[in-house]
Amino acid sequence: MLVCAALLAVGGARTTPAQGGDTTGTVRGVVVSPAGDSLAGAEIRTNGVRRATTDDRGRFTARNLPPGRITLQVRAFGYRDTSLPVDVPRGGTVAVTVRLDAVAVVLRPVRTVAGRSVERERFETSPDVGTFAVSGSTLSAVPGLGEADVLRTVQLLPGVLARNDFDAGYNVRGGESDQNLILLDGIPVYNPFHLGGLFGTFIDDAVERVDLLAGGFSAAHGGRLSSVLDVTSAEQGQQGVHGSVGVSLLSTSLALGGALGDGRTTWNVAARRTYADALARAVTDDELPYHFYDAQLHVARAMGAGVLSLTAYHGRDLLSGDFFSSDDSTRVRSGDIEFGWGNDLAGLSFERPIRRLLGDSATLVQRASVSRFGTALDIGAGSLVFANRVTDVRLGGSLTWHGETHAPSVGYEVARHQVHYALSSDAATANLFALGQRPVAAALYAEDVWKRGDLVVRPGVRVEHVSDAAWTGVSPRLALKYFVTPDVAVTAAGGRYAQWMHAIRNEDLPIRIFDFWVASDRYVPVSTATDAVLGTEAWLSARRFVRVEAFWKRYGRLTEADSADDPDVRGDEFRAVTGHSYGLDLLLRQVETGPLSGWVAYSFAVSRRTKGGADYAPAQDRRHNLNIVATYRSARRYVFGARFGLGTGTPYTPILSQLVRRTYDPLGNDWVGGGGGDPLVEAVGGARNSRRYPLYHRFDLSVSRPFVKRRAILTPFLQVVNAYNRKNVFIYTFDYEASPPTRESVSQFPLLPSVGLKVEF
Amino acid sequence: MRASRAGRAALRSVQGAGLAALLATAGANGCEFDEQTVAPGDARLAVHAVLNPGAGDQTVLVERTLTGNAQMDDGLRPDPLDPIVSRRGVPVSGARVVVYGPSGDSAVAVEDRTVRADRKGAGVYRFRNAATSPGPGPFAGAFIPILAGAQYRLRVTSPEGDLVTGETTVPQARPVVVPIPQRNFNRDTDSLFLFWERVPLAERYELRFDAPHGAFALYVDSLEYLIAGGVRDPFSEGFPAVFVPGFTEAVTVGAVDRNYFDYYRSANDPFTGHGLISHLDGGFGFFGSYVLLRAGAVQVTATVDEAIEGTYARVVGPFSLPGGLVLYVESHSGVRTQITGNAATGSISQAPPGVIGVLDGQLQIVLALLAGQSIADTVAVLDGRFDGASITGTVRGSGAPIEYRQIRRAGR
Repeated sequence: MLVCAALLAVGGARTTPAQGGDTTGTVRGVVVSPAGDSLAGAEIRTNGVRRATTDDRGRFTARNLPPGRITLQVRAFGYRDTSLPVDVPRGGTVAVTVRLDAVAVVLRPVRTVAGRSVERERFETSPDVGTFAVSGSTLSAVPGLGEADVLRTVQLLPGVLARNDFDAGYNVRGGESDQNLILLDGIPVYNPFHLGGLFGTFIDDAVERVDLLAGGFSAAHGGRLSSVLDVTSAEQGQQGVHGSVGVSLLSTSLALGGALGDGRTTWNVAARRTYADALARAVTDDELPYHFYDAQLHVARAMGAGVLSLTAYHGRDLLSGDFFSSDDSTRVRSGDIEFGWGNDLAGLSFERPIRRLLGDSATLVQRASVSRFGTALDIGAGSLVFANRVTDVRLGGSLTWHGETHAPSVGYEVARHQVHYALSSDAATANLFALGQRPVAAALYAEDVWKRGDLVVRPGVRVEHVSDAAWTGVSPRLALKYFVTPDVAVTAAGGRYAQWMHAIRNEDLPIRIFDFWVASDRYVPVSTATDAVLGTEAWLSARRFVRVEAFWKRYGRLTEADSADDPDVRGDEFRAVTGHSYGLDLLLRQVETGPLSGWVAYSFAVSRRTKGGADYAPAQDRRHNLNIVATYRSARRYVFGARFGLGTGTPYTPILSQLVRRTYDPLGNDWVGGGGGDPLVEAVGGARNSRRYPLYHRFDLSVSRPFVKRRAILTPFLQVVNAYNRKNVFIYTFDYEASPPTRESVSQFPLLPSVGLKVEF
Repeated sequence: MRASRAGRAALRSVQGAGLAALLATAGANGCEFDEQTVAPGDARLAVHAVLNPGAGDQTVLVERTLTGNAQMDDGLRPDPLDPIVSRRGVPVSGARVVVYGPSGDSAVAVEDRTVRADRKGAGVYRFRNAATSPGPGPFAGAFIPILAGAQYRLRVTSPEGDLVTGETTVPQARPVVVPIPQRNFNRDTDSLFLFWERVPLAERYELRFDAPHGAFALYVDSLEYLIAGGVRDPFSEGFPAVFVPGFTEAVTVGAVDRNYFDYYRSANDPFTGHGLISHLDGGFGFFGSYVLLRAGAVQVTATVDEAIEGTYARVVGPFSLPGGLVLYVESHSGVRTQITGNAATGSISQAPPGVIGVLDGQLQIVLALLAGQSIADTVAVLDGRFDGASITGTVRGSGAPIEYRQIRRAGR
């Protein structure tokens, strides 16, 4: 049992100048654990009256407090109640940092001191459907390949489908994988993957929380059809410099952060790099031609009553070398390859409460960001050079009033996209293909959250215009929630969505080697979707709820690359695809405020697409998908994680025979002359996605335990992916040159144990 | 200037290569499992046919897609007279192959196997171009003039009754070939400039370079082209060099119709089996047209700056081996060095056959002596060691000792 002396730290309580006429003051602060982790759901009270609850970053703001010395009472589950005196300035703000001391959880923890969880807060206040919040601590406890991975955790959420183990991409409620809007502190991220989709791009230590909106999202979001993944950067609220160093089998990482002198500025920086290439170079004669690195920065500063935040990210994957150096001597080959891709993001946001605006308090948010994703592939030193670059420069803002019954908001978003897409050959002095696009997408939106009795209604509308496509669309949105009891609500939502940035890829390929993006223009249509969601959510206890949602979705004018396009014709590069999806998601969740947390997510989904009159199941059409995720934090400070996944097979196109392609030799007027080599033998496919892979299931485990050594916390961890070594089929390969013909399976992840160490200070 | 095997087709190729590399890695790491026999596949007719007004014989290859019902003989050498059987195909014999001309005339092609004493040519249906051939010879009734600008129809009926049809229009060019002068071509410093006359009805112009690993073809819509000596073939596995030092490579320029162009610019995705553009009805393959415009060869050399490079004379070894070798460094791959070159045979009418090999970090060298300009025909392998002045070793198989002594640096 761990019972430590209560430690109270008031970090540099500084006041801001008085603002004319105000007769009250504000206390802003952050509540942290002894290890410096921010504590969500902690209650802030004065004189027994609840004034605030900390958010997922452990932050709170208590307003309208009487000036002078007051006693702030802070309580959080699993921590000792703490009181501290604070001098509240008249008309000003004081910043505090509260560190709570942990106590062993033996005193009926469920019912005594629980604060509201983020999920409960959402349940009580928001009509959102299909939402799921994952905290940073949960992310780190979910077993993964080598290290925690935000996107791989997202794959385990209800309504979300992972095509296979090798792909960190995901499909939401039957949608294609490019239909997910991924935001890092509000900045769009175009390709959040490393190593061809094997790993996600976010650094676990730099992430505070992840929110997924799987459908029915508000008018504030646009530009994608299927989902919104909102990734929030971590903020370190402690004074000084704190951080962690991590080593896994995959990479090394470093995260640093802290609060500057007056406590009004927090900063976090994290960086990561794979090291297998360096290891290979050190111990063998061989080159491992791949590594990736990334770095993420987040700085927040309280400015007056507002907060100015800066987020930046830089990541690169670099693959270079000679792939074919180890081949036999009967081939003349040594193709150099240079392949690099990565994201660069930078964004500023300013969020400021406005005390009185048209009679109510309000919040003003303004954002400006630049997001760039680029891919460059050079095969054979200029023999074939592919380059794709998409740059997204955007401004956005919103104003939200906080009334008693209404919370209306208006906002705008203007994005200038620059798309460069080129395929060329310096050596062959040829520009094979070139495309430049510069569309401007502008959106205005308005919505209101109206609370009346047991009903919460959020009507909204979003008007969007895409310049190059000469397209203007109106996207109505509606969400409502009716509380049958305080713990049971019925929800419904629906809306129309539009997407004008498209990733060109063959969705039927089982893995993302890379994506490249094009914008809608006069030839590439703006894709649309309409969805409707109906569900119910019931809280079985303070930290356990069950949610069932049925959804229906129709897609219009999806784009798919046309393999038979005419190079002389601009505009036939894509074929129009329509389709629909419907299904049901079931979620049982134990939120992360007790020793046991996790969720059971089951999804049933049916998806169909129609292209050129042919109806088929898209590759993401997995009918049944089950994920069970559990984290248990024992009294001995062990953290056990487990994940079990079960899914029915996804569709694939069967290979029915093989074609020997003959090459005509004009000099010999025959079909074998003109150089050697074997003839090309190509697969001949049957009906598109007409068969399905067998059942998929996998069980992962993890365990970690922190050890306190002087001023550091050492946490070694062990992860086992695919603990019982299930041979899940990745793809089939067919050989019709053999007699009798054969089919061989290629497996997904085998049993993969990994160990690592994290040192926090 | 634009060239094709274009756009996304190339990218599909690259993606496929990437995925194939991943699968190769998966295979190497034991990720393959559960190999099992499956039912024979769905046999479809595959037809490859090109009308060439400059050629006397016109051929139509008729075969079936591979379904696992036939045992392939991988030991056969490529045989122009038996292209299907010798190149892993399943020929269709006894088919009725008819080519219809623009004025209603037609030719019923004759299967080579039925007229040849050696019974070669199963699935190879041949007819004569009456515009260039004085008479049908053994192909009685199988002749029709192949004229520039004319449209032809093809109808293939298999013995089982399967039907494949197609149409092609011959580019409107006179079949007069302008020679490309043969010359030494230093691929490190030279570029090859090609030009030709416009041809009405040509969909594209095919530039073809017969590299040792196979033909590298580009399809362009311009009337001239400049290609650098260092170009690699991004469409072939391993991205091999197009111009390989030591080899003599044929270069041709031809005008092609849309069927020809679409077939060779497209490919089936290896994982879905779709993507190939075939304008045939009822089967795979293509029925296209080709007019040869320019032809020639380049003798590829390279700048000499490494010790292994140079001219060697045989001082020890069987007389069946070439009397001399010319070796170049093709490229470096870590501690391995790819070697290419040619062998002196004494013939002045034929290009010297090629040599390829590998030199490792310990100066062990393996050289494969080829029958011609193709890596498909190895006639002997030498295992030896390079000591800075000589290559000493043995002939693989016989164990006969050999020594080739460097007599001068190549190209000097």
